Amino acid sequence: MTGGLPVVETRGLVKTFGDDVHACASIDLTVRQGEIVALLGPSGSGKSTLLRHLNGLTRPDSGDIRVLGVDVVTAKGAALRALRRRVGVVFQQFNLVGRLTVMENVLNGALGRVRGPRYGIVTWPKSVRVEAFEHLDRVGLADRAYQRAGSLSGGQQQRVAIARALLQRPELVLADEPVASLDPETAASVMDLLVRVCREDGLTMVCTLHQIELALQWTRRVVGLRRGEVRLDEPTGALDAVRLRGLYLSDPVTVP
Amino acid sequence: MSPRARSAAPSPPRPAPASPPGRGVPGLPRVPRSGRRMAAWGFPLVFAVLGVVALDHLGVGVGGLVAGFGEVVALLARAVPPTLADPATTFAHVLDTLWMAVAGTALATVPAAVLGVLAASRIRTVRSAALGVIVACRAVPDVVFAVFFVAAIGIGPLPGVLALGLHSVGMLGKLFAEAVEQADTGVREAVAGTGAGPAQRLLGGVLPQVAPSWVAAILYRLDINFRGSVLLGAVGAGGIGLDLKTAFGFTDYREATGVALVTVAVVLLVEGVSVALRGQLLGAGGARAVPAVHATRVPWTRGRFATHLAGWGALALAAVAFWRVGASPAALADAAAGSVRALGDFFPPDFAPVAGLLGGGLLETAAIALGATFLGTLAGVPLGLAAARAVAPNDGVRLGARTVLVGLRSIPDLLLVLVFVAAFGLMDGPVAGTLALAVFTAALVAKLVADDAEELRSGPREAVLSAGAGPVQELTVAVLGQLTPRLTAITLYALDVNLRAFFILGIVGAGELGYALSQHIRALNHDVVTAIVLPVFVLVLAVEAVSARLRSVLR
Ligand SMILES: Nc1ncnc2c1ncn2[C@@H]1O[C@H](COP(=O)(O)OP(=O)(O)O)[C@@H](O)[C@H]1O
Ligand SMILES: [Mg+2]
Repeated sequence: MTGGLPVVETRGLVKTFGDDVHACASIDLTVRQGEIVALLGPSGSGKSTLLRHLNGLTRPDSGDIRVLGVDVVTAKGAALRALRRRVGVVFQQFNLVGRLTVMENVLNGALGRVRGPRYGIVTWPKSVRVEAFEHLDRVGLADRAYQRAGSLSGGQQQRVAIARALLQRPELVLADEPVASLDPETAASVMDLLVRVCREDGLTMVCTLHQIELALQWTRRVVGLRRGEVRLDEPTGALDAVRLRGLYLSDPVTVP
Repeated sequence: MSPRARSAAPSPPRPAPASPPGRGVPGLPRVPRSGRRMAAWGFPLVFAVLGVVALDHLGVGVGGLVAGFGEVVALLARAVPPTLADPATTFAHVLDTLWMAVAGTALATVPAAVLGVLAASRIRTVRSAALGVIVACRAVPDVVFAVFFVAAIGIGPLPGVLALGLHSVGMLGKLFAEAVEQADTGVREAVAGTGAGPAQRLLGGVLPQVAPSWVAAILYRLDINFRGSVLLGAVGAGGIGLDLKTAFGFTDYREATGVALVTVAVVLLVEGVSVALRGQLLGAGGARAVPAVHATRVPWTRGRFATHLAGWGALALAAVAFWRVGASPAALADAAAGSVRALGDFFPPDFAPVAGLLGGGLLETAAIALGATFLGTLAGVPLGLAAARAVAPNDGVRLGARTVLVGLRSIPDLLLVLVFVAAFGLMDGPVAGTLALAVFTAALVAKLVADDAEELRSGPREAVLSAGAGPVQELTVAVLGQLTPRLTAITLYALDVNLRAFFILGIVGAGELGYALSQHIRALNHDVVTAIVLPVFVLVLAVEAVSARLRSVLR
C-alpha cells in the first residue's frame, strides 16, 4: 500500500439495525490519499451502511470514524456540512431531480460553498455556472445542459451526478453501486469516467460494487465484506475471481 | 378494536397452522379472523342499516322520493326561460366572487407552505404542533369562519377572503406536507451530501421536487374556493351567492336560473382551467427536445418561458385580487384586532335558548348526513365506475357518465340546497336537505370512484379474464376487489362532508337546528351560534376519529 496520508480511518465501527441486523460488525478500514478501493460483498453485507457512515448520513452505535482528518462521529451542524462539502457522493439511483435541467442539478453540487438558498440557474453566480459547465463538458454532456435531467438515459444521468460531485471540488469520492442500474456497456464507460477523473485529479475513491469482474477490472484494492465484517483486504493483483466467490457462498445458518 | 385484532392487521400472512383434529375440515386452514376482515365486511352492512334507519327517521320513502323529484321538476318548469334582470351587475358579482376565491387561496399559500414543511419535519414536537394547526383550520368549515369574520369586521368580501384563506390552510398544509414526505429521499441525501445547509436543502432538494404537486394543490383549492365563495356570498360576503339567495328569496325562479347558469358556467370555466393547468404540470412533462446549447447563458426555451409567465402572472393576479377585495396590510391588521374582540361575543357559548333543541337537532343532523351519504353512494358508485375508462363497457357509456358527472359537480352546493328547499318548502326542510346533499354526494362519490378506478392496475383484471371470467365476475373480483378499501374511505369522507354541510343547510334554514342557526345568525346572538355550532363540530370530529381508525385498519 502506498504511504499517503490516511483519508478514511474507521476503528471498531459497529452499527446494528433493530436487534439482530449487524450491518457493520466492528469494521477497521484505512484508505489512503489517492487510493481507489472497491468495497465488494453480497447484497446486505453492509457496504452501503459503511459508506453512509463516512459522510455522516448514518451514525454508528460505537467506534471511531475519521474522514479527511475530521471526527465524523462527533461532527454536526456547520462542521459536518464543511466535511460533506469535501466528500462527493455518487449514488446508484443517481438522485437527480428529474424535472430540473441538467445544469440545475449540477449546480446543486456547489451549495456547500455559497451562502443562502438558490432556486433556478440565474440565482447562481456566473463563475459557478462556468465551472459547472466545464464539468459537464468533462463528462461529455455540455450540449445537454438545459435539458430536463429526467429525459436523459441512465448512463447520462450518472454522468450528470458525477459532474455534480465534481463541482463540490471533493477530496474524497464515495460511490455506492454507481453502475448497478446500468447495462454492462454503459456501466463500463461510467466506471471508466469515474476512475479516470479520480486518477487525473488525484482524488481518493471508495466505491461499492457487487460484481467481482468490475472490481477486478477497475480498482487496485478490494475490501471484501460479508455480514458486516471485513473478510478480505488485498491488492487486486493478488486476487482472482474464484477466491472472491467465497464471499458470496451461503453460510450453513442462513439469514431469515 | 381489541388489541388482538389490531396486532393482526399489519402482520404478514403467517403459514396456516395445521388444524387440530376434530376442528374444521381437515387440511383446510380456517380463514383467520382479523380486525381488517371484520371491518371490511362489517362496515358496508352497518352503513346500509344505518342509512335505511336514517331515511326512515326523516320520513324519506320511495314514494316521497318520486314525488319530491316531481316537485323539483315542477319548480324547474317554472324557472324557464331564464332571465337576467341586470347582466352587468351579475357579471360584476361573478367577478367579485372570483377575486374573493383568488385572494383567499393566495392568502392561504404562504402559511400553508410553512406549516406543510414543518408538518413533514422529523422533529416530533414541531411536526405535531404544525399538524395541530393544520387540522384545526381544516376542521372548522369556511362558513363558520365567515360568520365569525362578518361579526368581527362587518359584511363585505374581506371576511369571505379571510374565511376561505384560513380554512384552505388546512387542506393545502396537509397536501403540501404529504408532497414533502413523498419527495425522493435519495435526492435529499444527495443535496445534503454536498454540505448544503437547511434552507439550501429545502430549496435545492425538496422544493423542486414538490413544486408541481404544490401548484396542482393550489389550483385544485382555487377551484374549490370558487364554489365556496359562492356560498359565502349568502352569509354576507357579497358576490354571486347573494344574488342567488335573493332570487330564491323573492321566488323569482327564472332570474335564479339565469344567475345559476352564469355561476355554473364560471365554475366549469375555473375547473377547466385548473384541470388543464394541473394536467400540464403533473403530466409526463413532455420530454420536448431542447436544442443543443453550448453556453452558460440560459436559453429561453418554451418551457422556461411558460414557467416564468405562469409564475409572474400568478403573482400579478394575486396582487390584483388583494386590491379588489380590499385586503391591504392595514385592513388585515384591523381584521386581526376585530377578531380578538369578536371572540368575546362568541364565547362563552349560551346554551340556554337552544337547550331543548340540541338533542333532537343533532340526531336529525346525523340522520340527514347518513341518509344523504347512503343514497348518494348508491347512485355515485355505479356512475363513477361507468365513467372510468378501465371499467366502462364502451366509450359511449363512459362519455355519457362523464357528462352527467361533470354537470352534477358544477352545481354549487348552495344552489342544490336552495332548489330542493324551494321545491319542498321549509317545513319539509330535512327531506329537502337530505335529497340535495344526496345529489351532491353522488357527484362527489362518482368523481372519487372514477379517479380511483382509472388507476386500477390492469394485471388482476387480465388474470381474471385469462381464467375465463365473465364481465360480472371481472367486475366483482378484479374491480370491486381492488376498490373495496377505497370505497370505504370514500364513503366515510362523504359522510364527513355531509355532516359539515349542516352549516349550509343552516344558511337557508333547513332542518330544526339549521333553522335555529340561521335565526340566531340574523339576530347577532353570537354566543348562541357557538352553542349550536360547537356540538355539531364535536359530532364531526367524532366521525372523523372513527373514520381515521377504520381507514387505518383497512389499509
Ligand atoms: N435504515 C435501515 N434500517 C434497517 N435496516 C437497515 C437499514 N439500512 C440497512 N439495513 C440493513 O443492514 C444490512 C446491510 O445493508 P446495506 O448496507 O444496505 O448492504 P449492502 O449495501 O451491502 O447491500 C441489511 O440487512 C439491511 O437490511
Ligand atoms: Mg447497497
